[in-house]
Amino acid sequence: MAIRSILYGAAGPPAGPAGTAEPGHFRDLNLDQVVREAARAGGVPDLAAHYHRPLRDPDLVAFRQRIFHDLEDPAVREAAVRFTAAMERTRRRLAALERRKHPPQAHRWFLEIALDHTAAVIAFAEELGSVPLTAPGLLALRDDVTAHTRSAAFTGFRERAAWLRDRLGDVRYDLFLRGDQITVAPPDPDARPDFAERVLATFERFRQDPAPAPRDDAPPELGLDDVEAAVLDFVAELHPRVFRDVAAFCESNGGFVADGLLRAEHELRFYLGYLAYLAPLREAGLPVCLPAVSATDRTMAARDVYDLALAAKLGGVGVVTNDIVLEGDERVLVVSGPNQGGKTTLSRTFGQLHHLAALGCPVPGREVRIFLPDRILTHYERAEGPDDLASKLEEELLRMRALLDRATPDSVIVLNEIFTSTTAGDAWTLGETVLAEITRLDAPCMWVGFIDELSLLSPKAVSMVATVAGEERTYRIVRRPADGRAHARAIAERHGLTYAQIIDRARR
Amino acid sequence: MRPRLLGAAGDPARTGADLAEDLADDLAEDLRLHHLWTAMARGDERLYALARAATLAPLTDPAAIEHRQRVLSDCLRNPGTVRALHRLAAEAVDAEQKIFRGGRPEALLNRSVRTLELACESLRDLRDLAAERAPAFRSAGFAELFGSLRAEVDEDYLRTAEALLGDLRFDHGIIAAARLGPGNKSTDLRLYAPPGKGRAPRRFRRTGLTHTVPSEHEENWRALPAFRDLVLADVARATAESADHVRGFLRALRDELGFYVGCLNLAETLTGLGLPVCLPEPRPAGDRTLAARELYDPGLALRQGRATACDVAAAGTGLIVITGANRGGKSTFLRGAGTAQLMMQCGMFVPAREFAASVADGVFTHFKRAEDRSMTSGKLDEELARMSAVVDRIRPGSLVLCNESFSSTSEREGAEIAAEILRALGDLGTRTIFVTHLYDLARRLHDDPPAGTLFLRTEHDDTGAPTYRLVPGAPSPTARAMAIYARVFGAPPPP
Repeated sequence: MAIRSILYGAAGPPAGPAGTAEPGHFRDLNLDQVVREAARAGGVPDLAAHYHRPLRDPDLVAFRQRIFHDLEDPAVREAAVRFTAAMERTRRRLAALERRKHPPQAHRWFLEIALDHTAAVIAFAEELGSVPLTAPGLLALRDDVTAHTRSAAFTGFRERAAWLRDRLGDVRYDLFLRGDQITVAPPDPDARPDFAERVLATFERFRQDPAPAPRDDAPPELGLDDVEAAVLDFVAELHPRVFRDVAAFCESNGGFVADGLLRAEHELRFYLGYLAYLAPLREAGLPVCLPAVSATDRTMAARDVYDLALAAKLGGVGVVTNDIVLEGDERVLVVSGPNQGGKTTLSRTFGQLHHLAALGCPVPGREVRIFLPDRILTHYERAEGPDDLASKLEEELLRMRALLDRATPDSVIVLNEIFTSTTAGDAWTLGETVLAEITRLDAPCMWVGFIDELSLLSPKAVSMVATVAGEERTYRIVRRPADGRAHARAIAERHGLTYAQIIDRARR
Repeated sequence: MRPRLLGAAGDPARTGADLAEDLADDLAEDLRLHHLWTAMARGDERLYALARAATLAPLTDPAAIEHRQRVLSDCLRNPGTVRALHRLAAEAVDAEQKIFRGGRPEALLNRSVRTLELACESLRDLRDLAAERAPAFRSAGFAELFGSLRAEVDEDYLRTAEALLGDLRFDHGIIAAARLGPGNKSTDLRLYAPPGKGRAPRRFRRTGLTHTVPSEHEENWRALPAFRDLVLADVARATAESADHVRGFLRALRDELGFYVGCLNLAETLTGLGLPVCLPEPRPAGDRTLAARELYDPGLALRQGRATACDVAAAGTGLIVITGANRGGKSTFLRGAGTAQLMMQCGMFVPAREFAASVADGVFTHFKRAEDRSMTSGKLDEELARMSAVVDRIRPGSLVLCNESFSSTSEREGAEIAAEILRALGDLGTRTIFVTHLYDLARRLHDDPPAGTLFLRTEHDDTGAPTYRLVPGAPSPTARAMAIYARVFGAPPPP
């Protein structure tokens, strides 16, 4: 029974190089941090490869977006999380089973793992059946997993395992320990094993806390030492038939986990890892949305967008959002303003949005319409590299040359603080040249620098300025500067300490 | 059974609402409560912690306060007995704490049995001492404690308990019921009563399924105690839990007595300095009362060995504005009033000849800080952030003590901010004592006073020297800084 892919649909992955390596723009845009954290949240090591592979096909992007959309429903998401956790548990426990040496014990574990696994798969199929699904990918998954759980092999296996487990569970016996001897016997029908309760009852009167103290039962040591093995062998002697039946069942049912389920789990983690990464940000009130994408329209409209890596680092607190718009023939956003005003952050935001949208993922913003590029090309100042200015400029120009060689009209370009190692006049000239080339390509571009006059050179260029309010940087970047001023009352207001605010807070 | 020296019988909430920890630190620092607690502790860290905890968890129910006041009166009448009871309880807890904790169930069982044996002896001593001294005690709190020691720790009970502890040594073997759990390991092991001396019970002799652990291999040698641990885990947990209960009772007794021992220490020290103390009269929050004769700051008195006392009479007063000369006793008064309020609300005596005050639902301070301790915000920002944290916690009936708040900005702006906050605090039904240099603000409040505002100012004798007393009076424009300057430099500042 085949289980269809929820990353690529029935058609499977598109042709082309598998491309599991990290793309060149990842570090500049801090996408490496995003992917590292999302893959970690996804919980398996080789998840990153899926995030390294942007799509250009709007239909496939929509295929994934609809899955993300369905996973917004907590019931759907929790079903998927439970399933992936159960699959991981099964894998871990089967690996541990290899190390069990005492057959009567290993067989019991085998039964438990089989029952846990089959229960989890049935639960997943049932949960997918009871939640409202609209994504074709998840509907196909539901049908395939349901068919799997209804197969005769699956149900027969599960029923037999349950029957055997219950018979073991009914076994009772008594133990007598004295000195270096342990004796096993059938249970005493007359006496009650309640000595511990008697102890508790005797000293109950001194109890200070009405709630019983929490029992910190350590997870049982799973191995079996010689004494336990000897006891278990005696118990098997007292109950020979059940132990024989269990052994026969285990030997005839080897690798019982279907490959298709393993792949489905892996692919679900692509979605769940990313959503788990977003969760604290959304809890902190930051917007995310599924963008409208196009492989042909190079304009852009993005409202309340932000740098995902930075927001995650800040825990979603104090994140400033911005709007990014490229209309009509506009292609180049020239961003200028004071240092530490949020310009670099905005450039990363711009690049991240393009990559994340092309993964079919929700993007950090309230409402986003965006282009699916063939590649994202970035040029950021390198911290390392040559010290003297002349070679530094040379290194920058070499990288710029390589960038422009690879760029096509369908590429997205992000330039950050380039040509800082030369005079203003030279930087102007170089900038003018590069701008002409990008304009000629007609590729969407964000250019962060200190010379906003660049935007005057081309009708395709637009100026954005980082704003300040009094002494404070706002990290808001808009098409025109805003002004503001700080005085005591305004500060009081910011702390919620005006008359009306205090009254309001106290009454809440 | 539980000691109820800190709380009225049947009252589950024995302590008042805990103050938020961050604000409690501010409160302790601003009122310099450390000196108070140090005097109560006399070098005993635990007494210090108890004093701190009680002071920072003020009671708001006058009846609960009076319960403690009556217990305290008993303590002040019988200091020797109270100290002896405290010592017995403390020794019992300490003896137990020296026994190593943690580790294997069988070891835990044996330690717990030992703990319980020691505890039985301590309980016997406590019961006997209590029986001997009970007639001299009058409060409900002590009557209940002594009564339950007599009734619940009688000699029959202790003998039965000690016999059970003997059984828990399992001298003649262990019998347990078991079933197969995860991994077919023996689980749900529950003990029968231990067997007597002699041969193994018959049903075990009949099966012949006996494993003798060979002693030559180290692995086997470890497996046997491990299995005994498995079998004994259930009863070890029950015994350890029992030991926890008894220990919990002894510890509660030690701590509740410890608070009163701290009170005794402080009372002796202050009285020794010739300073007055009295049991205060807690009034309902609605009265908005603060009435005191010879109120002083005990923290300062303990450091200096003497005190300057103040009288104050405020009733139906939501806001007390204090202005006047630097070093004229304003901050000292504020600390004295705040400390006395907290002491009253934890059931203590107060540093005054007479004292009556409305109970406060939370005591908060907002004192000027020496310097900006944060790198990120300006001084005013820091002050406002602290005030905002206070506003988050206040309720009607809270007491807010402000010392030169909002002096980190220009006088005009500071006054503007403060006026608005004070108006809001007043309308919310809090009580505020506001010490200020902001003449602009004081003037404005005086010209158009919110209902129930009292203005106090520092007093000076004919030479201009402060008397360290506060008297009712309108704010005066000079803070006497010039006078102090002149005294220090021998001449007024140049114009």
